[in-house]
Amino acid sequence: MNPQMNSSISDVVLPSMEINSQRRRLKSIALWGVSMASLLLVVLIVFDILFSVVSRGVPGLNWSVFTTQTSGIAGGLQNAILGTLMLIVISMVISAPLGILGGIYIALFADSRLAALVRFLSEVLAGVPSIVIGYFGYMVLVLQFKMGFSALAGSLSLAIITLPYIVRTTDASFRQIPSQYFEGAIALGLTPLMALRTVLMRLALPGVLTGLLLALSIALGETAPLIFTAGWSNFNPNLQLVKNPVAYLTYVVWTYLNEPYKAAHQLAYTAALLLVIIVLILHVLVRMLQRSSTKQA
Amino acid sequence: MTNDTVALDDSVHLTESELLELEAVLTGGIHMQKNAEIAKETVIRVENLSAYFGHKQVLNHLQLEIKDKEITALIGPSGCGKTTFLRTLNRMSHTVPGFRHEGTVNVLGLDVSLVRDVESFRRAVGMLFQRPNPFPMSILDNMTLALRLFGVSKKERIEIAKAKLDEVGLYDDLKDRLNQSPFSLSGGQQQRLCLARALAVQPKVLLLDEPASALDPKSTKLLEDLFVRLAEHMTIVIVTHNLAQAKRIAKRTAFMEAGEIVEYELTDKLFYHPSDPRTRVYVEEQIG
Repeated sequence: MNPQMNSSISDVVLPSMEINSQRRRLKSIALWGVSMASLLLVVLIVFDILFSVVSRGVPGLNWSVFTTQTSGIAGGLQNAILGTLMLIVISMVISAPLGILGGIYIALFADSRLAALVRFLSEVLAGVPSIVIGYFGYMVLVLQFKMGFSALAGSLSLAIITLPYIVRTTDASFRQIPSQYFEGAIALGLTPLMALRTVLMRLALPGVLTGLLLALSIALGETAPLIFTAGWSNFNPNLQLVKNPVAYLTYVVWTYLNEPYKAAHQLAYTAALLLVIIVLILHVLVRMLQRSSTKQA
Repeated sequence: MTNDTVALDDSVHLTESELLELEAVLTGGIHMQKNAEIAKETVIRVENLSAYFGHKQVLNHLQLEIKDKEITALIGPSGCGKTTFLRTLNRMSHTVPGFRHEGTVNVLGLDVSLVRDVESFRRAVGMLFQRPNPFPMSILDNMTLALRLFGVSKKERIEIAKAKLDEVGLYDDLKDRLNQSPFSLSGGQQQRLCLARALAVQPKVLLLDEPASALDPKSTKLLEDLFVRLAEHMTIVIVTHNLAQAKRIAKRTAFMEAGEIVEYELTDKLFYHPSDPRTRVYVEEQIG
């Protein structure tokens, strides 16, 4: 019979090591406990936020919220919902092509020093506080370019904020594609652009879309830059993009909570609930895309 | 199916008029006569090739002629430059920033550093990589992608795809799964699919970069048999760490060390009667 089959731990481990291992086990239990507690704390906070937003927002959620415009401190949120959609759509129309093309350029075509420089500048831009972007938008777009408080000034400010995120995720999605795919494609006689369009794009697409959705949810939640550039309007947005203030949901949350009226508070809670719901949907979409991309690889 | 294959095989056959035509397309007729004479027998002629990545020299005065319709093996320790050399033959090395070379590399009568239409050149000089790299699209799309981009009609594309899959022995297994993902195939099948994909654009030269190093012995044998058959009508250059493989399939073998070609001989002579002591040491150590 194999002697090792019947041996106990003290036969194979030195006594000093055994004591050590007990101490180690205690340490590991303690560490496990601490990390579990911190995790619970974070989860609790998330649920607390969700609970308070939902419990206070739901009572105000009815059809008229979507069908009527804000009047004074009451009314619905139709103007703010449409305004928010308009702002994020225009900002994405501006930042998505720029960000994706820029990301592709630094990932595949730029020489390494230029790429590093652009990456660094993009990090810096991502780190600039959004209130500073808002102030810049006010000085340059609203005043200097005479756009006034408007959808265009607001969208451009949001585009500046989201651009570095789109550049970064596009860059990362293309750089993580193993070089064998690009080489395999050009070895068949494809031009680099053909390889990009047909083979690489397919591999990078889930990552790029993830970046776009994250950028969308960032744009959705911004308040500071819009206060300086979009203004506020009690009416639905229209196609006049300059010198025409526009409403948005975060303004309602920020301003109406400071009003001394119950109706105003209710509107603010409902606006917050709508924002949370949209962000949740976007993040579920991101997760689904990421899962499909890992399955592909 | 068999008839199709034969017909396509004939079109791969390297005739002198075809060469002239290819060359006329690629260089606009410059040096036409001179190079066609070289290309008749010798498909690849390397003279005094030195190559660098930045300041680091990786190839040192290589001198080599590779004949048509033969398999030529490149062997040597890791980092000796054999893969860089192989990738210089279809300008793949040139895509690496900081790469430059001196001396002339003449492939199919074309000086690689003067080739203007790199894409047509790479169509004529196909390549198979160390790891199977099917594209993330269906098996059929893998086969037809390049042909579609080059403007081949749909009917013709599918015919070529089927013929080439048949040529590598995959068609019968895959004919009902052509629209499925290639990632469910075994490694050996994926590599044969990549080979069929490379053959679909009808190259005259095939460069193989350790094509079987990630495969099991049975898949390796299948691939080797294919290479031998393909070499009846095309030129094949293979980089391999597997000396037995070189012995099995290559007519000639070059032993490289530290960026130099130590010895280039008929395979049997190189393995059994090496003239350079460095070759003898390497061959004996590897075979044990």
